[in-house]
Amino acid sequence: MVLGNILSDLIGENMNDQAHGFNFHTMNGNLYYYNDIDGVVYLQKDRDKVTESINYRPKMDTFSQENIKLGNEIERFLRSGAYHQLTLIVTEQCNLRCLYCAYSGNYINNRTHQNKNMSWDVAEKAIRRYWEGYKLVEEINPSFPPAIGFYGGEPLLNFSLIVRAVNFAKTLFQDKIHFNFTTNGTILTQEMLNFLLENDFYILFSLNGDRNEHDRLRVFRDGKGSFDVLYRNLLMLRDYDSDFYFHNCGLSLTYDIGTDLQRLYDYCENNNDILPPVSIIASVNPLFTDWYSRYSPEQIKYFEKSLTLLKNKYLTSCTKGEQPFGFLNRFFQGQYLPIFRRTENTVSTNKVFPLTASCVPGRKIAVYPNGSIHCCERISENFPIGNVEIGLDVDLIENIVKQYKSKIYPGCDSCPVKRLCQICFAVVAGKNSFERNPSNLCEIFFQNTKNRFIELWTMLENGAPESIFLPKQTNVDEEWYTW
Amino acid sequence: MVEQIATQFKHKDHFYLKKECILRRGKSDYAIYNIFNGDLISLEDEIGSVLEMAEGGNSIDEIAKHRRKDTASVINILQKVKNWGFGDYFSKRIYIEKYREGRLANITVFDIPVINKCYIELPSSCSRDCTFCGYPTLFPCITCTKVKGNLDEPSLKQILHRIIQMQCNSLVIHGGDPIINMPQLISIIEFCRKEGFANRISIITNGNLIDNSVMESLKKYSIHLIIPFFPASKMGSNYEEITYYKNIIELLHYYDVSFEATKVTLESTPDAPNSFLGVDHKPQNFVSAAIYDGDISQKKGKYPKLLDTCLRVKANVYYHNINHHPCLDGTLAITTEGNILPCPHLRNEILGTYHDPRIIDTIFKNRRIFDYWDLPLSAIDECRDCEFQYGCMDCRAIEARLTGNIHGKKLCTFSKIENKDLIQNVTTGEEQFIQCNLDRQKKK
Repeated sequence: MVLGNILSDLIGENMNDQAHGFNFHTMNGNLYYYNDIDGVVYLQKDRDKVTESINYRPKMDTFSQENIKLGNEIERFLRSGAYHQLTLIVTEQCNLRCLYCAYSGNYINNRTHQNKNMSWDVAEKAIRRYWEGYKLVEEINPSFPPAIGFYGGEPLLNFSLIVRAVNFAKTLFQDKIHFNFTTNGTILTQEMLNFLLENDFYILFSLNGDRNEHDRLRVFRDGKGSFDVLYRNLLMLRDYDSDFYFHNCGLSLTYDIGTDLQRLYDYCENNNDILPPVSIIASVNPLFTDWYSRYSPEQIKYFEKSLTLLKNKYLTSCTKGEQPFGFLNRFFQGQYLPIFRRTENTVSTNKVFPLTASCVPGRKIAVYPNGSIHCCERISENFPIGNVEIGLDVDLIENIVKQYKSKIYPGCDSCPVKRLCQICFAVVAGKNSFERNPSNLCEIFFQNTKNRFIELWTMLENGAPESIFLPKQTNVDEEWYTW
Repeated sequence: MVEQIATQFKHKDHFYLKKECILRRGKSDYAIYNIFNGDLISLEDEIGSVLEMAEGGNSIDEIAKHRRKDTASVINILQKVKNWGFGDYFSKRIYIEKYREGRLANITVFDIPVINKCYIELPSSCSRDCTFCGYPTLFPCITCTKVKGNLDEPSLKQILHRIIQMQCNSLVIHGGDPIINMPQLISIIEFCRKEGFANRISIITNGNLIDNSVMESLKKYSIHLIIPFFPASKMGSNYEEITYYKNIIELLHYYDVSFEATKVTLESTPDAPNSFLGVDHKPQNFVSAAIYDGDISQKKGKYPKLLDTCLRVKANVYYHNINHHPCLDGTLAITTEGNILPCPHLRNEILGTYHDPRIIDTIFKNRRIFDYWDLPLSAIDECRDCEFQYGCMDCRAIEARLTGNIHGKKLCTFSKIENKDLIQNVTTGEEQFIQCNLDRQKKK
């Protein structure tokens, strides 16, 4: 319903059983048609061949839900595709008060900072439950390694629990375990470093740019910026073990309209021998918040201008056949890869969630300090899928899946970009129920997707080699880290 | 005439291949893969290099300038390709995304590994005494030999239990002739079925010992047979073998037991009639193997004339072979001695033994098995620059045996392709092995 009315004008005549998508013009003036039924882009002049092409292959009944017994499918999934990672939310405390934090009070769907720490009893049980589940999946897939992440709050505030959990997990699992956590890096000590190196941790440091930019939003309780403390600790780590620093550490950058993007780009490019590689660049979450209402039209205009300049730099680089690295690559590549690498001509195998991009709950499990298990560390506490006493609860999962589908699926029928949807639990989990916030979320997503097609196809028409977007061979560790 | 053509194509500045036609450049030549119908077309350098520039977005004038040709000559070449139905003209630069099925991404550790075939070698002799037994064989995994040794049945069953827990598509039991020791064979098959293995179990047998009682057992456990058919003149006097095989096949037909035939060619007598010709009831499938019973130590080997083995390269095959070995991917083998191998005839590539109960887990966790599964021909020096590498049914077993190197290459499917004619493969069925059309169409 949400999308149907909005998009009817856009897709209108293109909707039928075999052709359901949208037209787009590249900047060179060529007209293409994206058909969401098979995921293929056709030249508009070949539109009449869509039917012929689809008839050539088995019927693309991509999203059939006939005869699906949800509970059985969930149980099957838990034995074959679940337990990719256990995330222990070891504390809800944080020594910083970043203005945009999910727990800052700016988000209507999330808690605020609390003083809760995870107890050893909960952590031990959580690891045991994870081990039991992992063993089940290992029967069918022995090749994927177990992984445990530590999350907060600031996880290092409960470092003693992390040490105990790691040592316990190592005794329980016979194989290599991947450990990781995200930290603000301000309370890192030499003693902690020794332990993290010894256990081959992967560490993601939250750094938002140079001192000005970082301290604009990432502050201590007293309002002072945290850049100097973090930077000092980063250098300590680099001097202590540069190999670990550049291979096992990464940066998570968060920006918003107030960010001077050009300056952020310059900072990252000019300091790549000092800073760990940029792993994630994400905007301040715009969902369930009025965060962006603080910015004036002039500020938005300035930001968009900077964004356009950087994007042009990226597009030019790609068109010349140069693989962009570092900041530019991280910032823009992620927008085009889902388009370029999208699935085509195949039927969805996800019987639990044939629509949207939601993980089946249980794919990852996040354990909260109170022992409740959730499908993601980014979702509010109101959607538990089990607890550490009993493990994952199929009935709870089924109930959540049904709730999600009843709230989110209406309207999907008419969506012309079903195959490319990126909506998941974390995107639509409100305080107590699932909802699109803002309500035109799908319209925004569709428009963004269409723009990505236009830009990507223009790049490719202009000579950007496909190799820029093709998957690269990675080793298992890299594969895991970039997951 | 040339001017007329140039005028006719005045507003056709660009040329692109269709989305199902993929151009690949080799060291000196080119090939087009039509991944809709599986055709693999060899192109001479002149056509290929023009097409390569066209696919890169260059205009016809730019191509002519770069190739130091006049525009009409370039159009002439492109028109030929258009007439073949592989591409078309466009008035400006466009982007035609190539056809594919599925996603374009690396296999990740989270993807469930699929054991496509697990070979189980049982110690067993053979009731025959073929003169060529034990010679280097192309695709030895679908023929037979003799196997000495003793079976450690508990260890084998333990490892089979673990393999059956995983996603395994088929088990292939071979020897010798496994039917020579029916109690041992039935014990293994019964175990697999009781463990819940419902997929295909095949037995490679020469068929010599098949009788009504064997048939009853095979039927009971839904067994599929793979029967090597040898050149008739080599197997007995006066084509007795043809009659003999006819009787076996009649029996299989009577009991409705499915089977496939391996049509074996001998390099020394490639034109000898195969006993397969005498079979009335056709098998579900037939595949080809070749035994090198001559001296191939000197010259660069070729596949026998009657065994022009290459894959029919539809989209699934093409994209598979970019990242994986065409044959090894998904294969595991357990030998009589208890060795775990990536192929039943890569005897030196030992991944472990079944005396280690965790060996299957270990080879997936340390990813050693993927050294073989994910070994595309682009990783083989001799094949890296071959335009046909995505359509080659490479056999690592014989290559390793002939060169002593898992990455070696002595036999080449395509070394016989010396002229630059357009070559169109014709399929003999939906299965992967195909026979090239020896009467190649000349469309030069």
